[in-house]
Amino acid sequence: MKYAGAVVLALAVVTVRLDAQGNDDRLRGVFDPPTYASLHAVLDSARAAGLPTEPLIDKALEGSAKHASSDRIVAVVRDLSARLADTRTALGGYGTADELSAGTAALRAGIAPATLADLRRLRHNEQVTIPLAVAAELVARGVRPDSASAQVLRLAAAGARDVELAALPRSASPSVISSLYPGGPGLSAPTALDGGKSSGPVEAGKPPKRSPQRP
Amino acid sequence: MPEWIDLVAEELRSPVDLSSLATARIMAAVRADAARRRRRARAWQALAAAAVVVLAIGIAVYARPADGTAVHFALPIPAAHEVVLVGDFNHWDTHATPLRRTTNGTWQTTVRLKPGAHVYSFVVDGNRWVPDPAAPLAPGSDFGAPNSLVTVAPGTT
Repeated sequence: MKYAGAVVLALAVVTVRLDAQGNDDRLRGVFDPPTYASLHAVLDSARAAGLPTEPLIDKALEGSAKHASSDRIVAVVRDLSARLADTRTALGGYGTADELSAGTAALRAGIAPATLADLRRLRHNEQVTIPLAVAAELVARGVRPDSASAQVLRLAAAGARDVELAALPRSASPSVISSLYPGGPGLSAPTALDGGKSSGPVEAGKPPKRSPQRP
Repeated sequence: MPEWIDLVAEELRSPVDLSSLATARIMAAVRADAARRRRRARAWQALAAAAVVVLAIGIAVYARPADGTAVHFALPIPAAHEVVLVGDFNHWDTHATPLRRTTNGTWQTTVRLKPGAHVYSFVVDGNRWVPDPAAPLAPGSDFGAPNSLVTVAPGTT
C-alpha cells in the first residue's frame, strides 16, 4: 500500500499542476506574451499565498472581453489579488474561493470588515458566501452598508438558512428597504430599456431537464 | 548413424549429479524470481488503484452532472439583432450564452448558476455592453462598463 499512497499523491500533485497549467493556458490563448507573463506572475503569487486563482482569471477574461488595455487588466487583477487577501484576513484567515469572492464584493460595497468577522463567528460551521452576497446586494440596491450589515447579522444570529437570506433583497419591498435606510433614497426601481419594467434575473421554480452548456 | 552421435546421446541421458549447494542456489533464485513477480504485480495493482482514484476525482471535479439553480435572464430590447449573456459563470465568453428573442421583443435565457454572488452583463449586437436594467449594479466598475449583480440561493437543483 506504500506504493498506492505514493502514486496517488504523485498523480494528485500532477493533476493539480496540470489544472493550474490549464487555467493559465486559458489566458495564454487570450493575451499577448508580455501581458500573459505579467498575469502569470500575479497568479503564481496568489497561488503561493494560498489564494484562489479562478476569480483572478475571470477578472482578466472580463477585461479582455471588454477590450480594456493590458496595463489596466494587470493592475485590476493585481488589485483583486490584494483584496482577496484582505478578505481572507477579515474572515479569520481562511475561506473558500466563493467566500472570498463574495466577501471581496461585500467589502467593496462598503460592508465593514468587522461584519465579515462577525458572520464567520456566527456561522463557524457553515459557509458565509450567501450572507456576504446578500449584504453586497442590499447595498447595491441602495441600503446603507451599516444597515445591510445589521440586517444580515440579525438574520444570521437568528439561524436563518441561506435560502431565507437570499430571498431578503428580492422580497424586501421599497418600504422595507427604506426602513433599512431611513432618510435615504430607498430602492430605485429598475427601468427596462424599452421603458417598461422587467422582473430581472429570477430563479426558475423548476430547473430545465436539459443540462446547461458548460462554458 | 555415426557412432559419435550415440555417444553424445548417452552422455545427455545420464543423470546429472548436482551438489546440494547448487540446488539451494537454484531454489533461492526461483524464490527470488517469484518474489519479484509478486512485487511487480502489487505495483501494477497499486497503479491501477491510483488510476481509479484519480479518475474518480477527475469525474467528481470536471464531469459533475449539471448542478446549481436555474436562473432566468431577460432583456427587453426589441431593436436588437443579437444579445449574449456574459458573466463570471461563463468566463466572460461573448459567444457562450446567446439569448433567444421572444415574440414581444424580449430576449431571454435560463442558465444554471451555483449558489453565491454572480456578476454579469448583456452584450447587444456584439459591441454594446448593457447591464441588466432589472438588477442592481455590482460594486465597482473595473473596466468601464458596469456589471449587474445576482445572488443565487442554494436549494433548487
